[in-house]
Amino acid sequence: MLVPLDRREETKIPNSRCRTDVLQGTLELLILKTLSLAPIHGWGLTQRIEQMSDQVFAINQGSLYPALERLKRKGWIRDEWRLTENNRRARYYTLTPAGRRQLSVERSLWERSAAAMTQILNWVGDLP
Amino acid sequence: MSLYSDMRARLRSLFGGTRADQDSVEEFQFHLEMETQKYRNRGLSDTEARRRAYLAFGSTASARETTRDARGVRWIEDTLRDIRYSIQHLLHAPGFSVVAIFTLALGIGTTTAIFSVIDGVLTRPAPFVDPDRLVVIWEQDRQSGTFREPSSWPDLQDLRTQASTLTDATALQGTEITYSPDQGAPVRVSGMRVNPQFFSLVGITPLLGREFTVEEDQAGGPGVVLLGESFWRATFAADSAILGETIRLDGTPVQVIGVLPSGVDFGLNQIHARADYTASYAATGEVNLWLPIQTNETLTSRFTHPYLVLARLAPDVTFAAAQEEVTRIGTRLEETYPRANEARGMDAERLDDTVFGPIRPTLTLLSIAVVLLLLVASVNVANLLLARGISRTRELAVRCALGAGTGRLSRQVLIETLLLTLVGAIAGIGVATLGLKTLLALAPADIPRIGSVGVNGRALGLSLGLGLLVGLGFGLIPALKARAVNVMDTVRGTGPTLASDRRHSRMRQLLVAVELALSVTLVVSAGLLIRSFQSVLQVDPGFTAHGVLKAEYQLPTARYPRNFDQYPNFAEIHSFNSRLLNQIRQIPGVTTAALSGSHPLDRGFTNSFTVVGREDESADWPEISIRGVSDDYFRTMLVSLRVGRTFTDGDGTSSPPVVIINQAASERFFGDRDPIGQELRFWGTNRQIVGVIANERIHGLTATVPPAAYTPLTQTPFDHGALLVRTDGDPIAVAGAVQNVFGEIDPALAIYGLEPFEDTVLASVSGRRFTMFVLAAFAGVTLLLSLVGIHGVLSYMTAQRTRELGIRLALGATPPEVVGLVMRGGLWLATVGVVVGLIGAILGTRLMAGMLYGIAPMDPLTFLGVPLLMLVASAAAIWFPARRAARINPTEALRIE
Repeated sequence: MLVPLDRREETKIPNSRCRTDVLQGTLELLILKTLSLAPIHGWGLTQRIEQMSDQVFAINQGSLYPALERLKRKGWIRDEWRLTENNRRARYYTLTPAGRRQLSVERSLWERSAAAMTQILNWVGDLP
Repeated sequence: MSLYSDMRARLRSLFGGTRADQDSVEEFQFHLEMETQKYRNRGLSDTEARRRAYLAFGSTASARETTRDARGVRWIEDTLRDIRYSIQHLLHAPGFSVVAIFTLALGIGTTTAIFSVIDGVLTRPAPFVDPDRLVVIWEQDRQSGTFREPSSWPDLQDLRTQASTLTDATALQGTEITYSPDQGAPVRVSGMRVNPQFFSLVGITPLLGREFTVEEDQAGGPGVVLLGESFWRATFAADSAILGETIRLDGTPVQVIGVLPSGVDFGLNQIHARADYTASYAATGEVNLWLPIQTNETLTSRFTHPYLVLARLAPDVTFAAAQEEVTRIGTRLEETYPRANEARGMDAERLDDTVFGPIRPTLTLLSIAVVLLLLVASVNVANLLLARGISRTRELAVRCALGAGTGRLSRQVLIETLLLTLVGAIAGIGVATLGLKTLLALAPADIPRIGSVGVNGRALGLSLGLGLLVGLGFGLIPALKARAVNVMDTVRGTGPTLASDRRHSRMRQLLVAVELALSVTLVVSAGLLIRSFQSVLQVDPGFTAHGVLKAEYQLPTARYPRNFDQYPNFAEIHSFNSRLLNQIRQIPGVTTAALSGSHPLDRGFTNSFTVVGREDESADWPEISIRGVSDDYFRTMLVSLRVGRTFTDGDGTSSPPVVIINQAASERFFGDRDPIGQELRFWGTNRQIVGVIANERIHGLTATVPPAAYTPLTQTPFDHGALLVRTDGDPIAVAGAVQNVFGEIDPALAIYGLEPFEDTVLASVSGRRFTMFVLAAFAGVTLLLSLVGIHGVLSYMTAQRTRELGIRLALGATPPEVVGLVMRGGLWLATVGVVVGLIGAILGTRLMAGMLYGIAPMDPLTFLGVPLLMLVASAAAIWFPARRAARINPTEALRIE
């Protein structure tokens, strides 16, 4: 079974598909949000983010793990080795209370800048 | 983010570094498998699914690196790895490492030793309150040409009342005292008599008890004493119960009223040592006892000059103003007391200048020398690093190409240099400890505070800093160069490296020339000092020290009374002298024995005198040194008689008074006249001159011999003196027997200074020997280092030219021609270094003006010999690489690279 998306992918180097790389600086917010739903491993994170964005966001896998490492260092997430449903050993990431607080901070920051962005893009008529 | 969690995460990943890495690897593996599974589920083949998964993930190695970066410990891990790598690297080039570390250890060690001495002796402030406000007041005797004489008691009183520029002044009088413990033999200890003003003047209070009062300092005051801290600790086990107790000093009971802290005697010994004469006082070691002066104008008239004077400048008064006023007071006293103070004046000198004046030039010279040594050592290490850096250019370029940042490369070089310097410094501490021990053993005891000098952290830090500075400076050049290097060309081994090599070569050659120049300067300076020391040892002292044993003593007045009504008939002293000499002469091995008021290198004291019949003329003459000797003295010391006769046992107490003068006195006072039969008058007696003897160098081997008059001890008894024993073997062999004889005659008598007289002579030139030895050692080390340096550079340059030389050989150059080619290059360098070094040495002689003796500052032997030696030594060092060059196999040489 062939999916058109994948056919394009065949001819191009990875990560340059017609999907959008996550915006600079938003990867950590996405990770925090995703982990706030349930603890999950790295690969699962990429899948979940892609699904939740309707395949719009592709996670650059090379930047995922350093980002997780950074969040861990900041004390916002924790990691532990657990077994998956298929009995595979995998490293699961969990949001810490500090991470939950950070999520709401980053979320409000994001909302403000997104609102500002929208306002600018929707601007019609005279300049203020 | 909490600091704590950050730290914990960093630490965990740092120490569990490999585990964290393994976790990452497993995590990536899991990720790839899941991704593969995803594609497989979409119906791709296994191979295709895996390929896609890997493509999507990218390089796991780089992911691991960036993940590790994100852990925030990368720099620490890298540093640790760099250190490991550096150690391996250094171990792989043991020759380089050993030479570099050895060189650094020598440089840092010797510099630390010398800086420790300088810091301990010169830079540490005196333990007094405002020591820079303290001055020494000297009197002069312009007739004798002496400018550092002690003061008379009345002059000091006048100074105290008249000087408005001085807050106060105290008399100082070093003295030697016999302390008789309740049990055991009496010992001779050093004492210092001071006025009570001394304590407030220097701002030091007793450790225990109290100072003596002004009342106790009056003539005829009570017997009170303060103990020096070291003496108190050593003799009374630091027992405070000693306060209020009485101890016996010179046979008299004296009450202990206090203990003074160590260091309170700072500079006092040096003041005594600089005085043109003082009473018998060894002027070394810590002062053991402190006593009041207890005198007045009647006891100590304006005609006698026993007291050194220490004073403090009044607040806001400049030294110049005080000096001007002191000089004025001196002139006024001369006018007021024309008889007592004729040709006398007063002058002030800063305490610091009095104390450090004699040692400062030596320490300056040594510190310059040691800095030169450190420079040579650093230049050597720099050269090594440079050579190594160049041969590493390719390695660095390869690493650059593989993605190492230049920061990382510089850090690697930095770490290597730091490691070398660190190991060098640790070895240097060992060198410093050993060196300092040697230095202190050789150092003359009269260097202030020399006893308390130890390896000093500040000095070590300074030398380490200098070493690091040079190491890093030169070590970084190749690392920085790596940035500019064309990676491709360098890796291929062609390209612009040749040009940059030539630039490096020039720098290395320059460094070697500098090294050689510095060592020529040092070797010439050391050569001059060695030649001077030789001249000093070759000086004819007028006596023969070899085979003579010396012992000194002071007869206590209590048991050896001196009733001046019966002078010179002091029965106890005469009987002591003759018993002592008789018994000493019976010791097997003793050929002759003599007594002398002061031994041949002791200045003794001087007195004014007249020549009978030429009184007016002789009133303007300098004083004459008066030396009481037993009749065998000249035979024992082998002083040759010029004219007349020596003393005999016929020159007894009641025989006609006689005197023998030295040649200096004969020339100065009699010129062409015949002195024999003339009469000298001093101490109220006319004494007929019966002989003239050769000059004994009583002011030291290098000083001008003053006029001296020798009198028979029978006619001029002394209560102190030196026993001089000539033996037919090693003089130390009879030391025990000599001590026994003293013990038999007077068990309560303390004897001191028991040593072969040759040791006394050597000790009198110990300062000179010290400077010479240290400078010579520095020169030797520097010479060695610079030879290693020139050898290394030439070897390296020859290795670089292997291909060129191979071509020359292939084109028909003969091996001797190639040797000549290499030798010429090296010798040209050596010549430049030697010439520059000679210029440095000529400048250096100015610093050493006061240290040279018996040779011209431009001593031809040294100034010709050293360059020749350097050229020959350099030629030898160059010979090895030159010979290697001649043996190059052209075919192999061309195949290289």
